[in-house]
Order: sequence, then C-alpha cells, then structure tokens
Amino acid sequence: MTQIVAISKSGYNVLTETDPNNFIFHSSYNTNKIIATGTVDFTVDTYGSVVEKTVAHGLSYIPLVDGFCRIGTVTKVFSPNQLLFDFFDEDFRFNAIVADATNVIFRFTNNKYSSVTVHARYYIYEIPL
Amino acid sequence: MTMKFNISKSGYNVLTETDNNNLIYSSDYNTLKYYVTGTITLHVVVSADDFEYLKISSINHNLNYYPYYKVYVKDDLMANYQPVGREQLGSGSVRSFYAYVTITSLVVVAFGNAGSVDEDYNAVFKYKIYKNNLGL
Repeated sequence: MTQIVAISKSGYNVLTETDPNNFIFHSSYNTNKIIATGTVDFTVDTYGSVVEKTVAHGLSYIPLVDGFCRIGTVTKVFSPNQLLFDFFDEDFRFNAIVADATNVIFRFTNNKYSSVTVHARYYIYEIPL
Repeated sequence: MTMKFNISKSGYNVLTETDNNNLIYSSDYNTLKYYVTGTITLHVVVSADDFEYLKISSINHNLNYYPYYKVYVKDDLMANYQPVGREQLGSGSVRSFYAYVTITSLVVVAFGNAGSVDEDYNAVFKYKIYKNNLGL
C-alpha cells in the first residue's frame, strides 16, 4: 500500500478527496521550496538603456528565481516587466529577473534624469531550470 | 539533535537523502503560503480622443506589509491569462496591464493609448496574495 501524508482544506474529507486544490498539503505533489531569499539595494545610474545588477547565488545549477522591487521612498512594490514610477513617462522599468550559472540578475531601464535607489527582494527556488 | 520533518520522493530514502530536489517537503525550507485569491474586473471605456488613459482598481489586503503576490490578466484580445506587464498591440491601440502592492492594497492598472479607435473592454485580473512578507 502506498502511504501518503495529506492535509485537506476545511470542509473536505482527507480520506476521500481527490482534487489537489482541496488539500493544504499532499505528499504526492512536490512543494516549491525556497532555497534562499534576500534583500539588496542597488543604485541605477541614468543610462537610458538596460542595466544589469547581480547577486551571486552560489549554487551548482541555474535556479528558478523570482523578485520584487521598490524605488526610493515610493510605497509601491512591483514584480518584473513593469514600470515603477510614472506610467505616462515610462521613466523607470523593472524589466526582468533571471539567473545564470553564477548570479541572480536584475534588469532595469532608468530613463530618469538622476540615479535611482532600488530596494529589491529575490527568491531562489529549488527547481533547476 | 535538530528535529525536522521531511518527505522524500518515491525511490529516495528520507533518512539519508540530502538533495532537496529529491524531497517533496522539507521543514528546512520555507514555502509560499496562500493568503487570499480572487478576481478584479476593470471595465475600460475610452474614446479615441482620450489618447493615453490610466484606469485603476484595488482590493485591500490589510497585511500592513508588502506581501508576495502574483497577478495574471486577460482582456478581449488575449486567448489566455498571462502575467501582468506585457504590452499588447490592439487594433490601432496599445494596452498594458500592471499590478503592484502597497502595505494595505493590491492595485491593478490598465494603461494604454486608444489610438484612433474607441475602446470598450474588460480587463480581468486574477490575483494571488501570499502571507510571505517581502520586507521591502
């Protein structure tokens, strides 16, 4: 007999439920384990072209990553591929977060007339790409 | 002795396995924790004369910190839901959809240029907010 560990959501019978969405946890399905996470501040100078900022991940594989950014004293946090300041001026863009064999890489485009401080959070998951 | 709770994949010995990719679950690692999920429909009506437009809607999460989130969007030109941020070219128009969080709200944005045509469409945003504090 295959043994499992399962926790159903409230209102569902853990012994008979078959829909994975109705489980809080089910050992038949892998979990997205966070191997590492951290915050880092970058200064992005005015270039008007894509700027890359990196954080070494120290892993032996290229990991799946995710990240978020906030700018200066602005109280909005954005995920990748979004504008971070003024939508109409398109003055600062958090283009992407990616990883290679060595680094987590943030990509920005700063079209402002001054440098910008970026507060960033990254997540590294256990799943190799 | 440090106590932990591990579940290995089939074929791996949970007592000796050290590669986290071979573990279904390990209490050594944090995971994303669902807080709330839902849908926001933004009805966008603009005329060609409006040129650029910005439409915003939000929901409160009241976590008092910036939470981890995911938002996907679909309008009448998209076949399927896609992550927010992509700019899509319509019939003479430009549409972009964004989402961000404050310490109290999740905000969704339809930003575009109606070009030479009137626009009347729904942007449907599917969101998931997690308890994980971004600490930003």
